[in-house]
This record gives sequence, structure tokens and C-alpha cells, in this order.
Amino acid sequence: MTPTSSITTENSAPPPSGGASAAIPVNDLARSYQPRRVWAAGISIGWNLLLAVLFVFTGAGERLYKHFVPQDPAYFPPSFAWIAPVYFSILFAGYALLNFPLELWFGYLEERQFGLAKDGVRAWARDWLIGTTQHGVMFLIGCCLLLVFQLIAPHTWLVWSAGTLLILFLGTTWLAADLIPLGLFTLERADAATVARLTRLSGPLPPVVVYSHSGLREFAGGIVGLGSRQVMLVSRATVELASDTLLRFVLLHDLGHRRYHHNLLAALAGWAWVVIGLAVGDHVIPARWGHDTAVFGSPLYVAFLTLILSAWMAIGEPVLAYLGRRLEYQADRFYLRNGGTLDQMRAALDQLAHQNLARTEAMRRRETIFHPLPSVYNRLYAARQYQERTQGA
Amino acid sequence: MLPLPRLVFRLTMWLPNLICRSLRAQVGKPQAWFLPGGWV
Repeated sequence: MTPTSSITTENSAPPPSGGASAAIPVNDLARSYQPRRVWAAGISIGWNLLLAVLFVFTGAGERLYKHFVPQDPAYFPPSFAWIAPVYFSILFAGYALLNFPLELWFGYLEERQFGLAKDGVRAWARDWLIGTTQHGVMFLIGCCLLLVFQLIAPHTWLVWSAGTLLILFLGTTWLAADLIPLGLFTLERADAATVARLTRLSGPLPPVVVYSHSGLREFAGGIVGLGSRQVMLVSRATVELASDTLLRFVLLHDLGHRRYHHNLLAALAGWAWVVIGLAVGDHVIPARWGHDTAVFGSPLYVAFLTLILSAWMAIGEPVLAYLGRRLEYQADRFYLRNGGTLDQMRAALDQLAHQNLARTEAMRRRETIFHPLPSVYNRLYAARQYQERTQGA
Repeated sequence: MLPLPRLVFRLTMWLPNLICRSLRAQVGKPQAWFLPGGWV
């Protein structure tokens, strides 16, 4: 299907009945801003894939390794165990430094052009440092775990890795509200009046926590954590500025995510995708580099794995985004079944789109395929279809 | 709420996966990694 015909198909949807289907006005700022964010992501992915390819295939990864292990052992000797964390740290530091210009440009300088960055560049750099440091620590732990499993269980390391990852994924999903890093946000329990307002709109909620950040203007939030560790996070902007109609929509929408266990599903889907990626890597990555350098069970394996998993996750983008969109539609239907109406949903999405700079016009399929959220236009279209189906029944 | 960006973030954290970024995962916005994203 050509993009043009896909647009035509969407536009030729059954004419909406009454005022319920009036289109949301097009937001010109969103129209120029959002494509830049997509370019940012695309360029970032391409740049990092290129770095990984160069690191592995120019032999830079091997030279770095041999710098520490000059004798070219065909296995990774325990006496060189200290090399692994050093090697991974250099890998990550290189990644972070070579990504810094991109992050600065797309995360700060371009935001300033749109008048969205309220902080000075030092405040942004501080956030970048905190985020990158924590990312680096996790990267180091993950890499060392993989290597340890390869060394102590060469034949079953995939099983051990998959099991550990499952525990990590479920554990971090369960405790998500407790794992929010300090230093990036202001987090506070919502006051009694806010809780009363939200509960009046949606019914019982998990404990509500309001978060804020000087750069965070968006209406954002959601229920994080599993079971008794669930917390409803809401951005400060939402509490301060959002109308009751909008709050009711997003709260019921999020209760829909909870009702259908979307956090758990997403964690399991991601885990499955990563484990398949590890298995693919295991088939593709050579046991030795040439004739003399160990790859399996050595830090060099991780250099290869970086490349394979990066490519694998790039392939996974549309798949995981598709799954994400299905979950959003399901949560929207939950809202409509629990007292929400199409008119109120449109009003809420209008306000959300305005605040969050989301595009509201019909978009080509290729513009939506990577987004884990359906476009506003498609959400309204799906909601209208659903309402016609259920009311007709 | 959007589960996927946080999921993708978690993949980035725990694996030697350097490029895994959701298109919504906000290049250059470290503070956007840890909390739910915008509702649209």
C-alpha cells in the first residue's frame, strides 16, 4: 500500500456522526517539532550501530583487548579477571563520549530553539551525568554477569542468563517505584486535596506520587510497580493544569493498563525479545577471533554482543511499538466501557496534544510505525469504531 | 501510561545494548528514561 493510499483509506473512514467526530485542529508547532524527535532517534540509532560495526570489524575491539592480554591466550584466564570490568568501562565511556554531541544537540540545543529548555546547559549536563552514570553501572553489571555465566557454565550460560534476566525484569517491574534514581526529579506524595480530586474522578487509586522536573512540561504519568508496590505517578504539570475531563481520561486509561496487566506483559515481551537476541548472538558470534584470540568467555564477546543486540533491538523497534499500540487501544476501550465518552476523550486528547506537542492530523503509516503510542487521529478513529460497534450491538 | 519506553529503557540498562532507544525514549533527555512518558 502506498502512503498516499493509506492516507486515503484513513480519510475515507465512515463519516463520523454529529459533533463527536470533529477533527482536532492541527498543531503547527507539533508538526515541526515531532519529526525532529524522530530524526533524533533515527540518527542516534544509526550512529551507534556504525560505532559498534567499526569497533568490531576494524579490529579496534580486539586491539584494545590485546592491549591488556598481550599473550593472546585462547581462553580468558582467571588471573586477568580485572580486565573485564576495565574493558567494559572503556567501552561504555567511549559510547557515552561519542554520543554526547548528539545528546547535547537533540536533548538541549534543539529544545532551546523551540523554547522548551528552561534550564541552563549546566543543569542539563548534570542530569546527563547522573543518567549516564547509572546507565553505565547497570551496563557494567550486565556485561560482567554474562561473562561470569559463560565462564562457569559454558554449555548452559544462555539458560542461566535468561533466568537471571527474567528475575531482573520482573524484579525491576515489581519495584519500579522504588528504583527511581535520586537527583533527577522532585518526588512527593500527593496532598489530601489532590488525592481526593483524583479519586473522585476515577475511583480508588494506588498511592499517588507527584513528580516534577524543570524541563518537564508534559502531561505524563502512569501506574508503575506490580501488586502491593504499585504507585500512581503523575507529573506536576498534570496536577496543576489539567482539566477534570483530561484527568478522568488518563486515570481510567491507566487503570485499564492495570486491569490488563500491561506492565507485566510488556516486561515479559521485552524479556522474550532479548533472550531470542542472545540466542541469535550465540549462533552468530564466533567462538574465536581468527586463530588465537578467545571470543567466547572473554570480554571480546561483549563487544560482538553489543553489535548483535543493537541490530536486534533496532529490528525489534516496530515489533515492540506495535505491541505497545495494541496495549494503548485496549486501555482506551477500558475508558470507554467505564463511563468515558468519545466527546470527552476527544477533549482530553486535544488538551493532551496541545500540552505535549503531539501531532493530531492523519499521518502516513510510515510515520507511525515506530511509535509505541498510536497517533491521536488513530486513537479517536479506533474509539469511534469501538463505540459504534458496542452501541450497535 | 506507556509501558514500552520504560521497558526499552530496562533493556538498555541490563544488557550490553548500546543503541536500544525507543523513538519516544527521548534522545538527550536522561530524565525521561526513568518515569512514565507523556500520555500522547
